[in-house]
Amino acid sequence: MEVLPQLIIESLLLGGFYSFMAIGFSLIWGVLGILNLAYGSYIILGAYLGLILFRYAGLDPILSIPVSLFAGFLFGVLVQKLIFNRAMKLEPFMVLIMSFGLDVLISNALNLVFKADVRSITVSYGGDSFIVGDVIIAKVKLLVFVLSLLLALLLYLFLSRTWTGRAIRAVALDREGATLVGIDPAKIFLITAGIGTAVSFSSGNLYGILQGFTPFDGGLLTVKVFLISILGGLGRIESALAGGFLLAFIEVISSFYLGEGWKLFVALVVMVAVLIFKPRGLLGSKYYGET
Amino acid sequence: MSLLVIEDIHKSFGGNKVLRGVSFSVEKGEILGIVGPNGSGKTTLINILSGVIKPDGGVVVFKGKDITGWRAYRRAKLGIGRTYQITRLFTNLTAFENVMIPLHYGAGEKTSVRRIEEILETVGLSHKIHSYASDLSLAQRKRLELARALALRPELLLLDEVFAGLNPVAVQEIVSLIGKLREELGITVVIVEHVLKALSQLADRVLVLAEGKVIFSGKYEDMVRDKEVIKAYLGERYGETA
Amino acid sequence: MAKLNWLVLGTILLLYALPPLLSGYWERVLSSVFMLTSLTYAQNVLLGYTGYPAFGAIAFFGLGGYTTAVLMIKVGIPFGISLILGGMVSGLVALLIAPPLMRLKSHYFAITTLALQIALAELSANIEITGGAYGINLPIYKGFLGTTIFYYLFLSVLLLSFLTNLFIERSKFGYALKAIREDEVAAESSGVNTVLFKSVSFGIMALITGLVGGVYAYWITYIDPESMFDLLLSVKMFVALLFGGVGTVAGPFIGAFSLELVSELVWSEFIEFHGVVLGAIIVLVILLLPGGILKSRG
Repeated sequence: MEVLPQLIIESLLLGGFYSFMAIGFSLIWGVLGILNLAYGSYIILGAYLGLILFRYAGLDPILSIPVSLFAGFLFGVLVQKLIFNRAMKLEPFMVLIMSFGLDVLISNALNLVFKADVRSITVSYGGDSFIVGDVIIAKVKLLVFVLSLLLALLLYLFLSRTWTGRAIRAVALDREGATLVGIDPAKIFLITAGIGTAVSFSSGNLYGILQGFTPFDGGLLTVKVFLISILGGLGRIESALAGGFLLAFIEVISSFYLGEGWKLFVALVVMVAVLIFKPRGLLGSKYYGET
Repeated sequence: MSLLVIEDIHKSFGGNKVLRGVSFSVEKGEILGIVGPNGSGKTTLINILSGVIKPDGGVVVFKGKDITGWRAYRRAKLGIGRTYQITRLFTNLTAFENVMIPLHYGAGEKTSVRRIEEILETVGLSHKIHSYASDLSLAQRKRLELARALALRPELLLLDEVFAGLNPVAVQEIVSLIGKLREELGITVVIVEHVLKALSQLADRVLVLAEGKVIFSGKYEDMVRDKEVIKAYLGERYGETA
Repeated sequence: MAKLNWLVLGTILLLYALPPLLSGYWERVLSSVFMLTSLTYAQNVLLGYTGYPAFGAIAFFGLGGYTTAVLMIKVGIPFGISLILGGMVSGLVALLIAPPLMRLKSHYFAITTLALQIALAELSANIEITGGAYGINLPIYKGFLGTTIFYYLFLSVLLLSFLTNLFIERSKFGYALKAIREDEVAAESSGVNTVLFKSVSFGIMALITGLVGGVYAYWITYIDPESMFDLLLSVKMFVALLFGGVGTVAGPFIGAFSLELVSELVWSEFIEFHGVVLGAIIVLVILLLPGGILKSRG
């Protein structure tokens, strides 16, 4: 049997989700200059929120996405106001350490409430698959893929078609220039933090359908969004898409040919090479903080 | 033999050709002024001479050695000192420490308090010996940067807009200081400058850069009469500054 | 300032006389305090004096620990020699990768070292010589002094790392590092070979960190990728450093001792809240004390 078509389909399906998941991280990094190591824990927070809504309100995780978006936005704005606004005056490295503290705080708080058991959001349509020739496509993966791209498209339209979206991009490209044309960066920072966190929460919904999760899975997710942002470059939806599909491809191919255990190693080696030789990412877009 | 010879230096950033074939030489003990409109490549040229950036093509020869591929620290040890348009001091260190580092690593000299005091005295800063660099005024920071360059025991001093932002009194003080350095220590000076009046007092010879090329080389008095130069740069500006 | 440094040295020397008075519990607590303090001193060389934040510095803790363990178990070299080789391997690897790695600045440097740490963890979980995800079992030490030997080993690495910091604070070598921290371009045009000096600084950091990892490996007798490449340990040492005062000789000692003692004494009572409180402390230390208790000037 020819495996390559299956591998390519798997990469594509996974890549769609990865791309969407990373957009929030990349946006926050690109616009605010904050590398938020708590981002993975935000995703897990979103997954638990989806689980609660599924269990107690009987809300399908797909239908609860608007709730996650809203909750994420509020959470993001709140954390920005309370913590990151003060921290942004400090050295970037200090903010990095602080965001890791936030990650430790969130994951341990989740652990207090939910314990370390593996949870999952088991939807009724989760088990089915399509079979097209030699290729098997799990319905749930296809659904997550379609939703991810749909949400990414909505974000793209928001960033390119609305005034707020354009203001966000203006701040990302040139903070001082944006101020000169009357944009208030402080407001843009709040909105961006809100949108970025909304993305993380809603991708948590999707993550919860795709696989089981525990309070401490955020670290690995942070590494992944980070890999995606470096591979693709920062601050643009296109970059996150490029990075997301590339990471999925690296993971799927290296798992198949070298073994599951090697996929992260291979991805990291590629990333270190990109950082040293092409630090602006493969698409090489311009973003805040570039010198 | 000339102290410094550069030949056919090229440099672009992205697609922007900043220097397109610059050649000149500097004689020992000379004070050479380099002027030119903004973006004419003056600072890039200083950066190439001091080794902060590498040229895309061309040769830099100092004291008869081809130093084109040399890193900045080796050029410093060989006797090229420089200052920066916006001062780059070791801000959380004292004036004493700022001078001690090049004295040890650049000149390879023993770093006695007396020697460091002497150097700071030359630039009129000996009373600030234990002040942190960040606590100094702009004029004092420029002097300290000059002292740091002098601690290398340089034969060639590259000064990048050393007068920018200073008041007329401070400009005059630095003008006479540079004159003194040449008289007493025999230091050769290449000075990139906007303040033309200061140059008219100091420079033995002036070089005009425009669009990445040398368009004039000669005496200051002749420069202000040169049609090519007036067209490229001085036209209306000269009236303001002089 | 200088008085405080001598006070720290005096305290370290006094601690050599303490074991006869200590219970097993206190011996262990102090050993882990010494460990964190040494790691913090190692970071101070790089971040405090040279200005490079190696967020993933624990990569070298793991490298030193694994090298020591592999040399002991698979090659059969005695612990003492394995430990020194472990530290040296760690330092040499750092020295070799420093020139390309240290072209990156600020958080790009920070995250690349983090990538290196995770990559090494993944590597050790996948290759055979390190025992894969199962790790390596080391024999329990039963020789001279019993387990008290680890107290002395950690304390000695602490002394070494303290003296290294004291030397850097006062020597011409240290001024080359400080010049790089203040302004790398200006350092270079003052005659400092910045690539050489920052690489050596990175190497010293890795050497000390690797030695600590080696002692730790034999102390806990069982190592696996998770325990040897623990990001939390990285963060604890940075918090200790930021809390105590970056770029000072006494700061790391004060920061690491207070952080680790508080962590052991107070939080061990509330095991389940430990993580939440630690996370909150990290956030608060950065927000409220960004400069640390001690300042590097005056």
